[in-house]
Amino acid sequence: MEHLYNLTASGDVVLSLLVFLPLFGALTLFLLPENNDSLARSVSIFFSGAAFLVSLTLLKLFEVGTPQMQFVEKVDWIPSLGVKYLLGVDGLSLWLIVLTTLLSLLVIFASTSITHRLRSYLGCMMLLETGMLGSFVALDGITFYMFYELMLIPMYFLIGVWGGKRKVYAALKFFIYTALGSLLMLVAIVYLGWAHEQQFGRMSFYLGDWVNLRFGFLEEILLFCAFGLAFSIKIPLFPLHTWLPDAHVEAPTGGSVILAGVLLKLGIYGLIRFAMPVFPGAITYLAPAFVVLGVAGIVYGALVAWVQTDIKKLVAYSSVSHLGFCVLGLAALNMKGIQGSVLQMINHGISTGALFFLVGVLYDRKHTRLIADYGGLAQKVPMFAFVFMVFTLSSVGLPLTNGFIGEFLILLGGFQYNPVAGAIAVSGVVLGALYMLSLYRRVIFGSFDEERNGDLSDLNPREKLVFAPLLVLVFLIGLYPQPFLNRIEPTTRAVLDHVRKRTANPTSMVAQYPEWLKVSSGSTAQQLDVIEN
Amino acid sequence: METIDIIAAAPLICMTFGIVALLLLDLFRIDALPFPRLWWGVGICAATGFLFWPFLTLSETAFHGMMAVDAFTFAFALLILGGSAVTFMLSDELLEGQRIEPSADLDLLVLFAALGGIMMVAATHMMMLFVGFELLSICVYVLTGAARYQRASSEGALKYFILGAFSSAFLLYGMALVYGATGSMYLSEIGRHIGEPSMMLLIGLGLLIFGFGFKVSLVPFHFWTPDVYQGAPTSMTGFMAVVVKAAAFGAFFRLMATGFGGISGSWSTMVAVLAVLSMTIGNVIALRQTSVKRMLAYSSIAHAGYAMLGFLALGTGGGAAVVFYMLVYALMTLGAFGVVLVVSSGSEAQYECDSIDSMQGLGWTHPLLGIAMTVAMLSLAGVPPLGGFMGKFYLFSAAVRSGYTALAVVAAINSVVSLYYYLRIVVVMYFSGERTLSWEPPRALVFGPRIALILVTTGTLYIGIFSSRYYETARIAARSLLQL
Repeated sequence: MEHLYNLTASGDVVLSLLVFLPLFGALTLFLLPENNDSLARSVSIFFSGAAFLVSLTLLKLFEVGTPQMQFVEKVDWIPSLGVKYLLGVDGLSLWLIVLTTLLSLLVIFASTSITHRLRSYLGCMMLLETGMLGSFVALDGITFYMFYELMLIPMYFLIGVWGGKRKVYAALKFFIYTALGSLLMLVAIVYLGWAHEQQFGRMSFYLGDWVNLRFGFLEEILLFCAFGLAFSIKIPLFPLHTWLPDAHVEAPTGGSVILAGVLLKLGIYGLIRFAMPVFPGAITYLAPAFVVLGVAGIVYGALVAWVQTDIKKLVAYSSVSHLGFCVLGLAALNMKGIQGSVLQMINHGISTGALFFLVGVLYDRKHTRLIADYGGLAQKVPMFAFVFMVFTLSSVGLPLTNGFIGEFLILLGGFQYNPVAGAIAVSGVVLGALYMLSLYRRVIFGSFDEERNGDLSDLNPREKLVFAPLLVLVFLIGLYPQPFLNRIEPTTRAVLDHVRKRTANPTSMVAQYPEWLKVSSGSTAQQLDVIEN
Repeated sequence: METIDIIAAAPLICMTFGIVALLLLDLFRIDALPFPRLWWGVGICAATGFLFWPFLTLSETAFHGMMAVDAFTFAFALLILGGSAVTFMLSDELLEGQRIEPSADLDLLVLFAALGGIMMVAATHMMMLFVGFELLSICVYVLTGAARYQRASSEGALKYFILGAFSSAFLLYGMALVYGATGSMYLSEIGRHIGEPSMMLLIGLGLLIFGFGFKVSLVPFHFWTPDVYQGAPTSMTGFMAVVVKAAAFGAFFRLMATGFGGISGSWSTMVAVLAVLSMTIGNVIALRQTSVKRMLAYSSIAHAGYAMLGFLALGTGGGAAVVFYMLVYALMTLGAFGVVLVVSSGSEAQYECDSIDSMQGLGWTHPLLGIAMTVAMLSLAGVPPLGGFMGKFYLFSAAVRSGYTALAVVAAINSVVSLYYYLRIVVVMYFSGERTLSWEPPRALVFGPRIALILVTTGTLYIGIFSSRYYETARIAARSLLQL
């Protein structure tokens, strides 16, 4: 399979339309009068709604059963250096795109709690949406990097302007942490372009060209580390996660939803899209490290979440734990693991996004996020309690909810890779149930403090409308995951095949390990057998 | 003088006529000029730029080959003239609260400095180079001291002058040694006869790098930069940071590529060390600054370090990267200094108020200033999709393709460090709540600075996304050096 990500240009411009619709929205907002909040909101709902519709069209037109890139757009951007504006969608990015447009629309729709500079808030959201969508569809290294970094600026403003008490610290930490990783990745991207010039005579930043590159051992490891560091910070992989709780706690509700729902996914997405096919040897070689860190993240995130007193911080640490699952599935390097990892990204976006919305609902009413300030809410706000329960269970991974399917696949993959890793990861599921249910118990059950929370009101129609599509998705994926997996499967299979072929080849990097490193190549062979079965 | 000479020299001759005409107008006190003053300066720059236009494809020499007007000269001339035009717009006399009295003398000095800068980048003979260098330098010494009644301004001017005189001396001495070693003052002749470099040649080359290192403020020749940048009136600081730096970089690059490109092995280590020192020290010291102008001074040191990467990659697009970087750097730096100028003009303080706190809350009260400054800061930090990112991308790819991946990594880490202090300005402008200072910049911005800020800000954005065309021009410019 030398032609992973082979392209046939389609002549469509649907992806450009999708990516730049929110940007046009942001520019339109810029021209509107400053203090007309309802107009600003309508305009942004219009544009992000249009983007959502475009993404649904994409979903409908998407051809199932092929790993080929679809809706490809290809324009020379910087011809002398071989940089192209190159967009395409496959099974890996399809659902993430729909998730992005959906969550962005919901966040904008639910922006009533922002009373302060709403127009700029919405503008940042739409700019962010362009950045996220662009990152998911870009197939050229430089195009990808542009969109990837474009996300930083609006997120920085969202945290810094509309954030909580320590917003400046959190915003700066978020920005610098992420930029450290991505600037090293930039050097690696440039290096890959140059490597392509050396090996094939012309510079290229196109992913499909990169997968044909061959590297020396150290070269490949270093390049992979540059990519891996950038994406691991984004995921965030334990122990690079320290920026996340700060950013989440200080960010406004909408910012948290997008951060947890979409931004973090870019780490996993980037690993599968770029790091895995371009450096098959390195990812196979370093997979054990990723598994260990992923499992460590699962357990660590769960344990830390358990002792939190702040609801938002608890959900933030639960993200560390859940994303640990994604890393485990990915690094297991088998079909089930990777598929589960991709599905789990979507699930996590839905359930954690919804949980942050729910925290926002409470915070808007009572301006506190401490667990101790609540209790017994079930009697006062039954609707809220019900919705909270569904997403709690989905986050825990109860069968019939979406969370179950993803975690189950990942655990299967994990066991296949290494039973010990799988077993520890299962303990993460148990811990997850423990902290989420204990959160639920403390907030929803127990004695109700009439004096303190007597004025709490249940979900209003707008909020119900926000939760409705997410609720539907929880059960849809939970009961009938096939349409989702069908679309994910061909891509993951193609990527995995590519990795397998490249590492199985006797001239491949893994086979050329220096003698003292041979230990690991044995386990690689074992692993391949498992996949074969 | 042959006809061909006149064609090549025509833009500069016309520019000189324009300047002299302006001088005479001022001499005879013709106060009722039909246009505001700033348009005279902008007009002369625009006309000269127009005359340079044919030289993108044409390559001519003048004065017995002492000066080459080719695509390289074209690129830098437009950059220098554009920078000067924006300087004129920014120092619009209608903008009240500037610390200099606008007068024709200053306009003339700016124009003469620009003329000197163009001579420098066009020079293919070391004497010509030196004449341009001095014309530029002396005008800028005076401009630094233009705020006559301010101590900092005079102090800056004196420091700049004394240290600058040293650097000129080093430059001259270096030229003498190189002449002694190769027997020619023509850069192309030097390049041809260089062969196995002798000790005398290497010492001469070292002194030349010293002289230029001073002008482009590389570490360890940078000590004048912060004081002079801070002391000079802000509009002139912008001019210095953009025009002087571009001219010096242009001439430096022509010298190294045409004269010493053949022995790049013997100076690449030295240049690499200077680049790493400049980036690192510039960025680290900038972290601690409380004055925006001082911070920008250190950042300009760091950016000089980045640009030096292009010198190391002569064969793999380094020249084009340097030309492009100078263009982007000009746009974003003019934006930054423009905002500082406008902001400090609102202060009642005796001297320019350029502390970081003076930017407080500006993003919300003055959207144009806020956006212009944010774009400039993010672009300087190299955040896509702004011009600064593209500049870095071209530099990095040139360096990586020449095998200097490690240097690119150092530059990338430095960019992360620089994020901290650039973002601090954004924090102050947007995140720190309402303005608590008793003064604020004028709400309605006068025409000149407004146009200038809009131009450079949209330019920074535009060039980041549609860089290809400008990079192609930069490539043509860099290639024209090799044809000589």
